[in-house]
Amino acid sequence: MNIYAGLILCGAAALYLASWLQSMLRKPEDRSGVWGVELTPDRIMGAALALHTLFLFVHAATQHRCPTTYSYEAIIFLCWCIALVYYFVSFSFTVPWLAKYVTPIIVALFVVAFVGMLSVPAAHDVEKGWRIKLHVVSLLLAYSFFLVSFISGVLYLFKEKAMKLQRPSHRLPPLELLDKVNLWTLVIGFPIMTFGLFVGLLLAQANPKLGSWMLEKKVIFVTVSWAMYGIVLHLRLMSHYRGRRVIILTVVSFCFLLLSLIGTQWHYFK
Amino acid sequence: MHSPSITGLSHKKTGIDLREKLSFSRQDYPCVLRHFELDPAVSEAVVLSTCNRVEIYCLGAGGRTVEAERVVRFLAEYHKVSPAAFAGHVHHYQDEAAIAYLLKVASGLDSMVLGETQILAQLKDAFACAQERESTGKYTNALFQRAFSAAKRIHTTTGISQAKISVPSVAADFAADLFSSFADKTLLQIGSGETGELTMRHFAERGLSRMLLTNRTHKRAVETAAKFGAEAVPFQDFPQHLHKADIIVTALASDAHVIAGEMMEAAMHSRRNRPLVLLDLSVPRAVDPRVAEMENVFLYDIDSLEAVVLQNMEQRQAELSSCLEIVDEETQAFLAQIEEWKAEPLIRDLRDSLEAIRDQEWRRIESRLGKLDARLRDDLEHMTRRITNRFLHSPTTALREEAKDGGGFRLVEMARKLFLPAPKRKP
Repeated sequence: MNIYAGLILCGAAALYLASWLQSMLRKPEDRSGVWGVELTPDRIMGAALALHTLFLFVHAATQHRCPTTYSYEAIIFLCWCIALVYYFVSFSFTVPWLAKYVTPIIVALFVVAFVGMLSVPAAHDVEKGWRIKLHVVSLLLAYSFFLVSFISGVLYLFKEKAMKLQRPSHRLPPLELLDKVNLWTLVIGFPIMTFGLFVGLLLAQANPKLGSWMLEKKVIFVTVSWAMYGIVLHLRLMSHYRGRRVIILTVVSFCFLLLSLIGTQWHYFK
Repeated sequence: MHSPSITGLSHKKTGIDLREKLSFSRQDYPCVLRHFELDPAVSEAVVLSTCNRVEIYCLGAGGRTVEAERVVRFLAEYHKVSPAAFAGHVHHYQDEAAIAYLLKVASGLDSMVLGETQILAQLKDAFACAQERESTGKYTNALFQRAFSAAKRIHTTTGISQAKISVPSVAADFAADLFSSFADKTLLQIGSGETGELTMRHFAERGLSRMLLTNRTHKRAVETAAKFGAEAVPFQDFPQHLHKADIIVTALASDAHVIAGEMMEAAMHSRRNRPLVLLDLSVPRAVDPRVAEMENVFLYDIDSLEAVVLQNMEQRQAELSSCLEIVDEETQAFLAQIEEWKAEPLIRDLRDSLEAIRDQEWRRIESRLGKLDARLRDDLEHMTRRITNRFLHSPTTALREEAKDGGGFRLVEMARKLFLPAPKRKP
């Protein structure tokens, strides 16, 4: 990796960490800042995202490849997608609480990526070509939306439990907002996932070396989670279902998605 | 020497019957203040009358304290009540204790509901009225300003007024657990008694857009609805409006459940399972408890609301010691401020004397500067002023510090001898 790109990436990681710490330690009434600018977790994360974007450009330009080729690159790209989705959600809803949950995940993924950098494997032949890049990029973006949906879903379940027990739960965001974030991230993430899977399907069919790819564990788990997300969306949008049960379904769907990722390589078959 | 005093009655020692008899309306304030203006023993006065207290804040003339008997006599004469009927309930504070007491009153630390902020507005109003009548002076102005700033400090730096301690406000908080905004929500209020009205006020303050109100006596519902711009619904028709409501509040006396499980099931079906919050403030309960088991229905009964109120009251009580520390600090700061005033006449004399010398010398030399540029002349004059100001800076600071510490004023006397011309002796 280019030394400048490496420094930029370290800067972005440090800022994500600072944003996480700020989201944990900062009191809502705190208005302190530097040079007259209030240091909210959002702003720090914005700076981190800017550096992160710069890294992706510099890295792609110096390595002459899409920055999703190796596992560590894909993880770094996933972090970028998560931060981007975070900003998209923040722009659409008032969600100051979200940074507290998203930033530690980004920081943890960065650690995994840095460890992965130490032993870079050779890129597989199948990764060449623009279609695989489109497949990986669209799936990583969809996973980022599903991650935010998962976070809001888990918070929803905690909040709903407290409310049913008639206990105050003012520290968690309002239930209606959690429900909205959960639904809209699914509504956006699902078509992107469908597109990514469709591109992957075309790729797999065009490659005779892959053999019986349909029986791969990864493919099975992804298909199950895709189907579950589809059912959730149908229930929510067509049958106007809402509440605890559909939220549990979104949480379980994300768990299947995780199963498809954990223990398998990022974007090529074993 | 200043001697402030506070004499009056409060909810702590006096029942409502007596407080009612001895209270003043806002219109009475000028008349009461006029009485104390004419009293030679009083130099400054403020009167405060609320549902929980009647108090007269006085500054004695000539450094003497205004005795409690003087105020008791006035109250008895004004309200035509025998002094013996209430003299034993009267509280009287003077000097440092009076200052600390006023600070506590302003901060709501002496209120029936600990940490409430309404008293601050009432005290500001009482002070404004006294200022209008010019029955306050330098001392009372400074004392009340200190009380207001201390109250602000207490409310902003401690949690004394943060935790909600009324059932309707806690109920509104619970509804806010479900909805991020009330702007597009509808409230159905069942029962238009005092609690119902209070609840509606809380929701209206939080920006709730639409309210439906029903009551067994429809006429009363119409009257109350008019106050809040709500729609009155006949009591027998309210089940048909259940599905429209996002928040349902019941505050009425009823032996049977007013909202049954089946009724709620039908309503939830009509509203396509959109979530709903039910706040049952009635005893006995007006909502069937089985409703709580339905998905997307969140029921809170009076027990759960009162448990939070109790918890919040304990939270406020826990803040009391840090509030009293602030009261103590502010009282000492005010006393130091008053002490500082003692050096002011000397500082003023010093400034006048030095300014007279500077002015005399400037006039002497000004005629010789006739040909100089006007801007340069201004600069020179400005320089002479700066020299006198800089010369006086250290002594005035030292004098103020000396006065603040109450160190016997040796330095003050010394400064007078050193810098001020001795009065000329008559031949």
